[in-house]
Amino acid sequence: MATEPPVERPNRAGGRDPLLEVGGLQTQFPVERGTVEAVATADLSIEPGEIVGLVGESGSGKSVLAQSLMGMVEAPGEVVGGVVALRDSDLVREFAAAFPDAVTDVSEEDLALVRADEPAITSDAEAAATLAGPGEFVFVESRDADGDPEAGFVDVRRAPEAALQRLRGGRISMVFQDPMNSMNPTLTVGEQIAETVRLHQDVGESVSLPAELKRKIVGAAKNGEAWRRAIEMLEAVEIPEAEARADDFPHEFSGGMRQRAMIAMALSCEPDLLIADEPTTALDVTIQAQILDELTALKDAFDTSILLITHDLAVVAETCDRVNVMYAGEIVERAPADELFANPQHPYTQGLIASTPRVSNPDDEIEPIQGNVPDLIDVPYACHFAPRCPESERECFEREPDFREVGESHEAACLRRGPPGDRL
Amino acid sequence: MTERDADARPEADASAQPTDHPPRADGGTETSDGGVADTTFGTRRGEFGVGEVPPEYETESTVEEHRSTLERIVRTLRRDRLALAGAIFVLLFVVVAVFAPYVAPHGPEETFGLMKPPLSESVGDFDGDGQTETVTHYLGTDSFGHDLLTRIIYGARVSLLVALATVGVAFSIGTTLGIVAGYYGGWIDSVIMRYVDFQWAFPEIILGVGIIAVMGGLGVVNVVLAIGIAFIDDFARIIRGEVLSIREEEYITAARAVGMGDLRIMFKEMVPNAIAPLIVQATLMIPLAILAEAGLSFLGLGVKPTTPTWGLLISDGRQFISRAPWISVIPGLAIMLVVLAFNTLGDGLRDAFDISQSEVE
Repeated sequence: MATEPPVERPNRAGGRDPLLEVGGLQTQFPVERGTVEAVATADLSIEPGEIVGLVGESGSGKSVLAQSLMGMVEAPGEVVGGVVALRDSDLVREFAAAFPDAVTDVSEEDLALVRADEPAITSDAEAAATLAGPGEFVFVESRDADGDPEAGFVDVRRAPEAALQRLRGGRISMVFQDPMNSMNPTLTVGEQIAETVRLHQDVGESVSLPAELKRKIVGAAKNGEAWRRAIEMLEAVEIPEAEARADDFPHEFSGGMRQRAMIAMALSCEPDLLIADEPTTALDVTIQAQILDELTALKDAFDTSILLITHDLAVVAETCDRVNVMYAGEIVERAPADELFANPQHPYTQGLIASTPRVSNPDDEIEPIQGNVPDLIDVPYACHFAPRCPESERECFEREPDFREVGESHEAACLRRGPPGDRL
Repeated sequence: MTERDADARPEADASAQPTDHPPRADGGTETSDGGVADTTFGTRRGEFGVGEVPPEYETESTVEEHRSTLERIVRTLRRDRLALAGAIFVLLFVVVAVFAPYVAPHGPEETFGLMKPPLSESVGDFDGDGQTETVTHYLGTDSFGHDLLTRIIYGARVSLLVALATVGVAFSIGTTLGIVAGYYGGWIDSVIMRYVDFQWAFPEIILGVGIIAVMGGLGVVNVVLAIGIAFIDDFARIIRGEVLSIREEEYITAARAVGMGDLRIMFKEMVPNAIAPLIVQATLMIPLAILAEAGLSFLGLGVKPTTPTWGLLISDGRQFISRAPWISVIPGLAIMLVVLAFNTLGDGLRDAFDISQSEVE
C-alpha cells in the first residue's frame, strides 16, 4: 500500500495511455414515445492516478454514464454503441487467460487501416473495437517474447456478465450517493467488506454458499484473512475502534461513517478506478469536506483513479484534476479544473458557474440558466443546449457541434468557440 | 446515537468545545501558553488542537457489543412473556416427542380397559407377570383400550416430524420460487406466479388429497410431500412481495457494483432482509401442517392407521363422541395448545429477527 507513482505505460500514441478511455458511448432507453438518449456519444478519458470530475445538472445523464462504465445499465436501457476501454496490462493478462475465446490481437497496421477508412475515429481503443469479432472483448496490442499479452485493454461494454462480475469491485468500483441505503442493513459492516475481499482476492476463503453457511454457523468468519483486511480498510478510512465497529450493523453508523465504510468497501480490492457518484451530496458540509479529503488521500495510498460525479461545482474545483461538463447526454466541455473555472468557454458551463451562489459575494445576482433540461426523447436539434443558449444561431440547431481547442488542453463542443476561422 | 457519534469523531468533539470553557485545575488560563493567530478567520489557536480534549473530558469507548441472532432471540424472549411461554411449550413438545419411550407411562400398543374416562383406573394383569396391577389413566383410554396420554405422547412424534418436514419442504421450494419470480420478473415471474395462483385457488387439504392420490400409498413421506407442496404458495407469495421492494434498494445496486452474481444477491443479500415475515409465516404454518396432517389422517389418507397421530386419535373418537367425548377432545386440546404455542413464539421471533427494531429499543 506504499504510495508509488503510477507506472508509466509504453508510449504508443503520443501521450500517456489513459487508464480508462471511453469513446462514442451511447446509452439508450426505449420508451413508448421513442428512444431516450441518456448518453449520446460521450468521450472521456482518465489517466492513472487522476481525479476526473463529471459535472452537470440533474438529468444530464451523469449517473447513466457511470452505470454504463460498469455494465450496470438497468433494463430496458442498453448501451448501444461505443467502447469503454480499461487499459491495464495485468488485467489483460488475467482476462486473456480466463477468456481465451474472447481475445483478439490488434496490430498498429490494422489500426492505421481503420483510421484511414474512418477519419472520425480518433482514439486507438475506438479503432480497435471496430475490429472485434462477436464475443471478443479482450484486445491485445502487443505481446512479449513468450507470447504473453503485454499491452492492451478490456472493453467493458462488450464484456459478458461473467467478466463484468470480475471487473466490478475488483477493477472498477463505485460509491453511491446515499450512504443510508447503500449498505445491506442485515449484514455487519465488516462482513460486507470481507465478502467483497473474498469475491475478488485470493484469501483462501471459499465464497460458495455452503462455505458461507459454515462460516456463519461456526462463526469462523472473523478468523480469516478477509475479516482482517476489512478491519484494515476501516482503519484506513479512519473509523475509530475499527475492530469493534466492524461488528456493527450499518444503522449503528452515522451517515459520514457509513460513507467512509462504503469507500472502504469500494477500495478493499484496490481497484484501478473508483467511480464516486455524488458521494457527498447527502452529507452535511463538514462531513463532505472530510470525505473529499479522504478520497484524495486514499487515491494516492491505493494508487487508484477516481471519476467524481457531482452537480456541485465547489466540490469539483476543490478536488478534481480535470473536469468534464455534461449536458443532456453529451459532454460539452473538458479542461483542467483550474482552467475551467478561470476561463469557462461553453455557454452552458458559463451559465452553470454564473448560477452558483457564492458565500464571498452574497449580494451578487445569481443568474439561472433559462429554460429546462430538454426531454431527451429523440432530440431533434443538433446542439442539445441550443434552445437555452443565449448565443445560439440557426446553424447551432442544424450542425453537430464538434470539439474545438479553446485553451491549453481545454476543449469545448460549441460552434461559436474555437479558432476565429472556424467560429460561427 | 448522538453521544456515540460525538465519540466517534473526536475532532468534531474538540471543535465544539469553546476554548475558554472550563477553568483549568491548576488555575492557569487557556491562553497562558500563548495561542497563535490562525490564518483562516483571524482567531487564536487554542491549547487543544484538533482531536485533543482535556483529560477530564475524555470518554470511555461506547461501542456496544454486537449481539448475535441467538442473543437477540434470548433478549426478546426475556422481555416478551407470552413468547417465552410459547417457547417453553414448544420446547416441552419437542422434548416429549423426542423422548416419547421414556416419558410415556405405557407402550403405544398396550391395551387396557376400553374407553375409560380420564383419571379412572384399569385393574388386571397387563404386564403378563401373573399379578394384578392397578393402572391410572390420567387422560383416559380410547376405543381400543390404549392409554390416551401414551398415544398423545407418541402422536407428538409423528406430528412434530410431519410439521417440521412439511414446513421445511414448503419453505425451501416456496422461497426459491418466490425469489426467482421477484428477482427476474418478466415472463419468469408470470409463469411462476400463475402457477402459484392456480395452487392458491384450492384449499390445502383438497390439494393434499389430490397429491396423495397421484403419488399413491400412505406413509409419512407422502404426507410430508403432499402438505409441503400444498403450502408452497404462501411462502412464494410473501417472499416475492419482499423481493420486489428489496430489489429497488440501493444496497442491491451496490452489491452488483462489487461484482456479486445473481445467486449471491438473491440468497445472501435479499433473503436476510426478507427473513422476518418468512419466520413468522413458518411458525404459522407449523400448526397448519399439524392440522393438515390430522385432517389427512382423519380422512384415512395420512399415515398407517395403527400409527398414533393426533389426527387419527380424533378420527377414532368421532364415533364415540357422545359416550366418550375425551377421546376426541383431549387430542384436539393438544393440537390447540401446540398451535397457540407456535403462534406466540412466532410473534416473538419476528421482533427478534427485525434487527433495526430490536436494537433501537
